[in-house]
Amino acid sequence: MNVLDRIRIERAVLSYDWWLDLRGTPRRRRRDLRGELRANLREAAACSGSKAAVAGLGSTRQMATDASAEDPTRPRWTVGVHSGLAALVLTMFAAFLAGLAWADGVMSADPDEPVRGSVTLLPGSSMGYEPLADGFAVSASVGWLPVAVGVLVFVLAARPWRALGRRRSAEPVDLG
Amino acid sequence: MLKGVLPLLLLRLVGDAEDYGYSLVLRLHERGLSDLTEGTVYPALSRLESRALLGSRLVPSASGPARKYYELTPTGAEELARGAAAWAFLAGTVHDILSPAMARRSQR
Repeated sequence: MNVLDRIRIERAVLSYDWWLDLRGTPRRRRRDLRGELRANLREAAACSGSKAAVAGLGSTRQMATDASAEDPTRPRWTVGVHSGLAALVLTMFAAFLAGLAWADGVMSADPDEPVRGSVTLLPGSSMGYEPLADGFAVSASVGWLPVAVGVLVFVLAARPWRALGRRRSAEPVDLG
Repeated sequence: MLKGVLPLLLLRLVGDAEDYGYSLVLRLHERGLSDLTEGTVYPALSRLESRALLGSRLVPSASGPARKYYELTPTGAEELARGAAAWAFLAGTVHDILSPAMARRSQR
């Protein structure tokens, strides 16, 4: 089994795990189902190739729907982490592009003195341009917005408040 | 495939011999159910295990990760007996209804 086969199989396993997490499947149960699917896919790949083995699964979303009953009371940690990281990376990329545009504008003006500034849509950001004898130096700080967006998306996607609700409902009721 | 038939088949096959997911798919294909995909069989096994109709144990495999072998539980055996009886009744009834019609059609 080569690296491409392993990547193909792991991609299917992670996709399955994603949908299971979205349905509120407990972590231990998800780990069991991941291990089982991985073992079955490797067996199938040895017989018919990894491409056919993964294709035989069809939709991993449908598989997750069929494999476990939905539990809307559980937080979705994996979904939260993936979504939060994706939002963080996208916002950082947008901040990088904004910084490049700012630096490009300053360089076009070709100032003799150091210039400091920020991007309006990135609160807390700071950009710096300093002309040197043999060129220039540019510095940039993207501020807190990308992290804030990442955390916000993580919280909205993971729904951690569900854990509080579960803990509260699990506490014994005092009838005295 | 009719709803409820696949779980019945899986209970029967596992009852005959403990087995793991992919091997069960191959056994179903060998019996002529080649349209059944892994994506249908694996979740059905998980559901049966969740309902305690199947038990499972991990068996180390030389070719890769440990295989999860399923075995029939006493509850599963009862469900299998109930399901097989219901299927026999349904199959007999459907056959009785269809047979005269098919016979008339073939006479025309």
